[in-house]
Amino acid sequence: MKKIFVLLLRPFFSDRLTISATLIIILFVFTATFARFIASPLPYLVWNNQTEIDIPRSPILTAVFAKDRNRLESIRYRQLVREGKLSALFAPVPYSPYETNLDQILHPPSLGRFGHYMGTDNLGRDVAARLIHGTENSILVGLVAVGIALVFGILIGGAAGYYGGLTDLLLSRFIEIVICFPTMILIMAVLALLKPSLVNIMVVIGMTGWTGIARVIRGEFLKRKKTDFVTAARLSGASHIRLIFRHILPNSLAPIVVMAAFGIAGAVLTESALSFLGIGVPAPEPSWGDVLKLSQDYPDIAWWLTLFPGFFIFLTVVAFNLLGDRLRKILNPREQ
Amino acid sequence: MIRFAGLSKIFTSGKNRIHALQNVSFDVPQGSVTAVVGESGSGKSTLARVFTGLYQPNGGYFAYGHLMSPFMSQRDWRWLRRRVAMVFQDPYSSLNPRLRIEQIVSEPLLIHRRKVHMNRQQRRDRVIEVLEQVGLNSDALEKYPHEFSGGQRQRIGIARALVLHPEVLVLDEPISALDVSIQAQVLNLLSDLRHKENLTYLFIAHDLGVIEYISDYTAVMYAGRVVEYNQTAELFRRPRHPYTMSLLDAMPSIKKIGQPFKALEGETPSPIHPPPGCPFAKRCFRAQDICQQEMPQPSQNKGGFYYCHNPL
Repeated sequence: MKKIFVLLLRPFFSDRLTISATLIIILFVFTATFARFIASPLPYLVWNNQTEIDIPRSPILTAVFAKDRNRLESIRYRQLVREGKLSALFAPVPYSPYETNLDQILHPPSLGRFGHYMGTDNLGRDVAARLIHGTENSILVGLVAVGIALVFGILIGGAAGYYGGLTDLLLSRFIEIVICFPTMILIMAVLALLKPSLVNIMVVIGMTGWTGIARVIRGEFLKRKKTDFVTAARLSGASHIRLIFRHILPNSLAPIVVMAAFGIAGAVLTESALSFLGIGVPAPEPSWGDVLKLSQDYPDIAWWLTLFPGFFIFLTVVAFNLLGDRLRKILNPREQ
Repeated sequence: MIRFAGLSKIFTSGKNRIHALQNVSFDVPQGSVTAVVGESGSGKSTLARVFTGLYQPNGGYFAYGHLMSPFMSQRDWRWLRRRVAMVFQDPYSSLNPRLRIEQIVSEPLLIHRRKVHMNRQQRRDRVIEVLEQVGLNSDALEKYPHEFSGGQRQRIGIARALVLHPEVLVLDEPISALDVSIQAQVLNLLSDLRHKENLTYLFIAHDLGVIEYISDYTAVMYAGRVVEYNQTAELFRRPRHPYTMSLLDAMPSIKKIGQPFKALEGETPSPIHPPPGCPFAKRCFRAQDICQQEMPQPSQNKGGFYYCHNPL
């Protein structure tokens, strides 16, 4: 473990940009994980309850476990606080991503208590809350899609590189055929046939994104299978499975880690594009591209609908690209 | 005893047929060190790779124990794999950089666990035992290959080869990638192990000094053919093939200080279009007309043989 730190982590953290990129990614993952505690109409703490309603001490925590979650969520805490019947400590963004308010359509960003820090959309929903809850979908699409792409890329590219010959010829042509499809059109066609659900989007982005990984893995396998340590294992009588998973694959992972980082950035972008085109994560579910889509309809008046989701997408893509670039440099000693 | 009989190997690349081995026949007596010497491209590594099953020969066969190469089942190959191990030339590429030394050396035990019957602790003990045999101690177990020098890595490679108590080691230029100071150590180690473990060596080399030191029998290869084979002492005392002679002449020696090296002129014949006659004819200082046209027949010579029309 110590060796891993010295070899990998030290050069990694010697660069400020990389540290920032890592922090941004950690922040987004944290946001995605704890979205319901960051943007929620339920208060953290409640005291001084002068109403008839039974409110637990910490509605936000109780709602996680308790059965009367719906009742807790239906209480209008902000209203009660404004009327002075309740004192409460709220989450940083005291709104739900689904909560519409037709009195406050397309309000620009406002600060202060119960302000909409990033404005509201055409249904009066808080943009900040929608972006924070959308982080989960966007990051999840990125990670799962790349995960699917990795599995397919490694299996198909690995088989082509390891077995060579006719297998390689057929699989390589298959990879080239898949590359030739215009990805975006293919995804749109598939999503038009299936329902555009979160799972379908992940699968479709994953199924079109494996070709680059497969080609790199194929090249790595072609190169590694001829190395002496693989020959040595083969001469000891090692099985194909053992040769592939113990000797060849672990030594071919470096470029894959890099491609995965770039792939996540690409998948987040694709998901946003799909949402922007209206075939992304389905309607009430928030995602970054979904907020961005609304900006099409109000380009002159609602700049906040463009700026904030755009900034989130930009940050993620840049962070993962920086990370990928840095990993590439670390894992390829020649570039150091 | 290993017997190579009429082995030939042709590689095809595009339309070209590359004759890497042509009619290679000689014996490796049980318990001997038999060296195969020749310049690069002479087919000596190809021979090792045919014997270890990495390449299928296009003609001829080899025999070991009760096995003959064209009639070997999967089970026979596994039998052979437990008895024949290989040590590689480059100690840097022959160890998996992601595995610890214990994992590297114990891998053959794990692969053949159905025949070896060892539990984890017994495997570990066996690994420690072979590591000590090659001059490393048990501290090495948890380390990774990059923590060792070239010489130490080669010892680890030898330990991996020894772990199954093999009968034959195929050594593919085991010391030529090492520093000169380390070469002697590894050579001495190999020489000791051979007696202690009762091993037969098929020793591939291009350095005649090394061969003179370690080997009992020597096969000289040129352009895919064995041109001369004999007991090493006899071969060095009285080479019969002009190519063997040229090799010996080119050998650096302290007795020859001040004399210029007798370098061979010309190049080896193309392996794609091997000449009809003796492959060495174009460079040979004793060549006659017949040498260009006809491949010489083998001539017996004190337990060995050579292929030459006009021997020394």
